[in-house]
Amino acid sequence: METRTQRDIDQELVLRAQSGDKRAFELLVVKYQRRVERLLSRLVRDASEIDDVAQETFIRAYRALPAFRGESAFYTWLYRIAINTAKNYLATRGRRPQLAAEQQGDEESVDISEQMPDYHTPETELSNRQIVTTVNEVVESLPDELRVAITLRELEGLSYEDIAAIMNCPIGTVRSRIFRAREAIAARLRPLLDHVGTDKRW
Amino acid sequence: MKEKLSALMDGELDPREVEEVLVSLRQDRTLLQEWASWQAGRDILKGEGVAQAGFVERFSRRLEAEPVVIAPRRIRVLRRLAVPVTVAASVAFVGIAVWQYYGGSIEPVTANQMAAETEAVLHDYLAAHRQSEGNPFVERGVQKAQFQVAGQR
Repeated sequence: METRTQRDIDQELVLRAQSGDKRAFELLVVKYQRRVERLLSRLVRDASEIDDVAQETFIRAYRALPAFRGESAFYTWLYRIAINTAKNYLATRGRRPQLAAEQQGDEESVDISEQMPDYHTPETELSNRQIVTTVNEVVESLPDELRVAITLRELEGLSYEDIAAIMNCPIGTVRSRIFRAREAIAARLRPLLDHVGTDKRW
Repeated sequence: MKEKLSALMDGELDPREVEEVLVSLRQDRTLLQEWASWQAGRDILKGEGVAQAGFVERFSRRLEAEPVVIAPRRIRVLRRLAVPVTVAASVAFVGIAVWQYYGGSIEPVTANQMAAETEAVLHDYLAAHRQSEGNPFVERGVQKAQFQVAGQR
């Protein structure tokens, strides 16, 4: 099968959502939630505000979906909505967007969003570190064939066809290995994410 | 079904199977949680960090309250129609050209025949009229004038 880009996948889901399928849009929301949050963290300071603005961003995107014609990538269009939503949000509160780097006085040294973690409390910071450590441990403990398959897919972004060629196995086997690796990671990740969820104000 | 959802995440699912996965998603909400867990795993492996927990559940509640959007399919419809319309236009053009070609050669003949008949009748009538009136141009032939009106056809 010809390798499809992330843009193709997004476009497929966008077309489904534009045909009235809300579930297809939810898949896109999950896919881009983290990246929108990171973007917003450069404009909005407070973690709970980031969440509110991110929610509003996706709702606005959904309402504007009929106007999206696929001339740009979905995430480009989405990021534009996120920035406008953040600006409007701050304007209604008489504030203006302030980049974290402006305070640091050095815009190019590191990724700005890295300096602005979503969770500012020590508890959530600890939880996040624990989650990242756990995921890395799970990947390390996977059988070789699962670890290699998921690494080539998630970190290198290779297609199933390329991974099959590297691992010298059928494409169907690659698909199965990646799925099993995901399941193994998710099994350890889910309780931790649920725990983080109970820490939140909502 | 979960393995197919996993393949969809990688863009490796046959387009014909996408609909099947989306139908399952409508019936089984746990599939969205699976997708969210896998996406969280991907974000963490790529160093993107950890997304806010419970986000999509809250979003889904808001989304349920939203009217369903249906986008006009003009672009896709136009693209889909582009080839048949072009073919139809070409066929129509050839048809009109052929019709005009044959119509164009037949019509003047008919008109000329009609004109010749009219001219003969007119000539006889004028000749008779001139003779009866003692007209000085009796012996002169009738001058034929033709007028063509552009764009009649």
